[in-house]
Amino acid sequence: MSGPSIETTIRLAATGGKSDRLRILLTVIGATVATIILLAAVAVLFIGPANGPYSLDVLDQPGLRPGVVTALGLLSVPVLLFVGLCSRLGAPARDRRLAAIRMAGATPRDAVRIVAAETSLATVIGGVAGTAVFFVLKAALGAEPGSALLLPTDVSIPIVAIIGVPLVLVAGTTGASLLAMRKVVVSPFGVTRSMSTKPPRVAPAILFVGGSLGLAVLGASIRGGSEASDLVLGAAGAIGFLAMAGGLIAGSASIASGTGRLLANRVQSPALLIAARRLIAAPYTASRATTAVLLAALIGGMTQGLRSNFLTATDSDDAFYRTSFDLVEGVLLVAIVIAAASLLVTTAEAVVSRRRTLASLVAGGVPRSVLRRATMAETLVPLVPTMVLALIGGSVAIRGLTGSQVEIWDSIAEGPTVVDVPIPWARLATLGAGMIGVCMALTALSLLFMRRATDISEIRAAA
Amino acid sequence: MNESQTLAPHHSDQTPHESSNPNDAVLSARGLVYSFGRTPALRGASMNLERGEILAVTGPSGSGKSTLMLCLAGILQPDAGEVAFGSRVISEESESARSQLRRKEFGVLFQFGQLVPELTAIENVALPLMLDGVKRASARTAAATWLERFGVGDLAEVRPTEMSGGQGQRVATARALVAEPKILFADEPTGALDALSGEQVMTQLVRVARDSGTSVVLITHDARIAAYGDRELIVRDGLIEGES
Amino acid sequence: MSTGHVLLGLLATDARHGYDLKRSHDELFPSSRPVAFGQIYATLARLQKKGHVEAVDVEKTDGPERTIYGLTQDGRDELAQWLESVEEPAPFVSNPLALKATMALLAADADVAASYLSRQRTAHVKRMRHYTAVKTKADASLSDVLAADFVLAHLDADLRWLETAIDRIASLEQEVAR
Repeated sequence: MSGPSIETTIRLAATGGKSDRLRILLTVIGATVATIILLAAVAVLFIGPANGPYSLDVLDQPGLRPGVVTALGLLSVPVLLFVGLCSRLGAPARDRRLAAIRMAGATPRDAVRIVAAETSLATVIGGVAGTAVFFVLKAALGAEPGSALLLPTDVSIPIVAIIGVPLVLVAGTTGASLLAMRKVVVSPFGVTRSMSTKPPRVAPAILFVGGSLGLAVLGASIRGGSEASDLVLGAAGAIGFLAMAGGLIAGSASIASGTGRLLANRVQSPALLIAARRLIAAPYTASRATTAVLLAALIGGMTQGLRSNFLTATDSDDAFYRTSFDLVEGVLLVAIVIAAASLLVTTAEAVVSRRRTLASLVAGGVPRSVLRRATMAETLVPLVPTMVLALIGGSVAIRGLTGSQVEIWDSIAEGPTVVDVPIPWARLATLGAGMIGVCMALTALSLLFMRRATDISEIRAAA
Repeated sequence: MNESQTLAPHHSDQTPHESSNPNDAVLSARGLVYSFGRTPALRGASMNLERGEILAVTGPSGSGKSTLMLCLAGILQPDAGEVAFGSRVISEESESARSQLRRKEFGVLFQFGQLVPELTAIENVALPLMLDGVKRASARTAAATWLERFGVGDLAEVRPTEMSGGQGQRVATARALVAEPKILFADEPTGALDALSGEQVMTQLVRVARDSGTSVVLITHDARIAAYGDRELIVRDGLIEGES
Repeated sequence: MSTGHVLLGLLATDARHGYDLKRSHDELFPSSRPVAFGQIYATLARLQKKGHVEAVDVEKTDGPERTIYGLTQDGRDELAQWLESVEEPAPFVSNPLALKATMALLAADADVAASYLSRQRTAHVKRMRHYTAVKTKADASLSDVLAADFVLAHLDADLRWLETAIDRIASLEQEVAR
């Protein structure tokens, strides 16, 4: 392959200013967290007969461990999305540097390679840091022998995993960064982000509704005593879930442009007008930011549906399911925060990449508060309806899968009786409100970039 | 009237603002000093802008002429010296007060990149009015009139990304003037345009400013653009070097 | 021989009499000296002799009779040929401004030269302002604008030359002083 040597690429990737360091820091933090999560998954995977016992049932019971490993693996997905989005964060200095590199004769691929090299480099650092933090935590949390452990701190991690996890991560983040940079054009005159404006409308809706109907059909056939193998049923369930998730993510762009269209010709507020027009012009910017959050909401809705079903079906005094669900919800909470972190990065990018326009608007007397509100609205206005859809859709799909009624033992009548599973409105509402709160907080945090981005020097710098 | 007489040069001294009575000054600056880090951009510049006057500010690049405009418009706060707009000393006011001043009393026009690319032309022009609480419908009506005045009425529903540079700059000028400011600040408004588009934008800008009595501070390095002014200040090394 | 070609150009659209030609000429080139009647008639006579124009009609009004001239085919060919041929790009080095400014920069002491150049620049800027005002007037015709553009472009060229000359002398003096 022609182009600059690896050494040159790394050197170009590693030079940069203050805002470059911020981006690299975020990437390192993402990689550190991902390393810790994946090493934890490895630890659970390697729990042997000699290990334990653990006070957490999900760890103590071998049958539940694959679920924990899967959950931890899934948890690393929003982290990878976060790291990928970080590499898009076009700090002005980096944009100018990339443009200068292109002007000096580098090909567009060289420029993207430099960006990817920076991500790889930061991931390696994060991998080393994460491994160190993991082992420090492992040593610190290890209890005295004899008493039941909370976490598998007694498992020895194979050396293959210690080397393998960072390598897998480097591959993952570099891939994510290349994916995120796909629509970014580095020309000799600057960095532009291309945007398409026609999101699909019908296909995502069909996928989402079809997936949830599919799960209901699957549930009915299981209850009807289907003779299909577990593998087939499991695959059908997975396809149903993936269809819903895919429909939701693809549909979020058209919900974004739809809400934009709904508002653009009605609103009186300049902030909402700008937000609505931006949603119409670049619906994928909004949907890219919210992908991870919406996945978390869908899984959150499903979890609530399952929880309601299990807790109705089992003895309410039995703490096992309650504790397990609390644990799952804890993991979900972590996932939500990580997911919302990518919201922060995307919003920051939206601000930073429009700095010239924003700076001249501020120069013309547009209050920064209007621009802040516009940016908040741009993220939150399409997010709220889509999230509500995801939560309710997830919970309804699970209701379809598990049925709306369960048979329980009635201790008074001393016989089986059928009761309705309540729809967990209160918990869904709490979850939704909590998620929106987290998203608002992190979006607001990204607006710290606003003052720097609207500095008057941005008008005078070459585009 | 005989054309050849109007064109004869000896009739040229018809500058409408010969009086230099400071009471006529709509904006004045005394001893402005401003540095970008350790690089001085202004080293004690003083000037007056008279009511209804089109003042060209010229000078080589790096002379400090743009910095002077940014200080005059209340976008930058000078390190020393003061800028007075009527009875207000704007160089001492808070950012939010100056921001409101820029929105209501001043119009600002840059070389390019000032229109919101996602908003249509009419929405861009209506924006300053909507920011001041004018209802959407009446803001749009006013915006349409201004677009018409700059000959881009047919582009009302077009977004800036789909316009030529000259068309975009006319929309931007309409936006800068829609709130009927007392002063229009224009920093190299034709810098990114071809010669003819530049001439057309300037011709319309000057006609509208004359009709509405708006004072204009016109920053340019191009003598042909500066010639649209009534008076010219020459900035060199952060000081007002001369006037013509 | 440009007056002749200008008359051929004016006659290209339709036939006119001498007075009409003079008026059109002066309107079209307001910044050049008005052309005398005598010159118009002398030129027309010469063009007629060459066969480029011919008398097509005589207009009888209250005053004197006016001969209306029209283009012949030869005239059209001559006009076409003239429009196709390239004018020698004229280097205005004999321009008094260039001579004086050069001598001021080379012969006078620095302050005198600087003061002269600055006053010269002011005079140029004022002239440019005047022509700009002419062309921004609401009722300015296309020929006004074209004429003003022509003058402005030349004045602007003078000005640029002047400014570069000032800078060159300044940098030369710096080198000598070093």
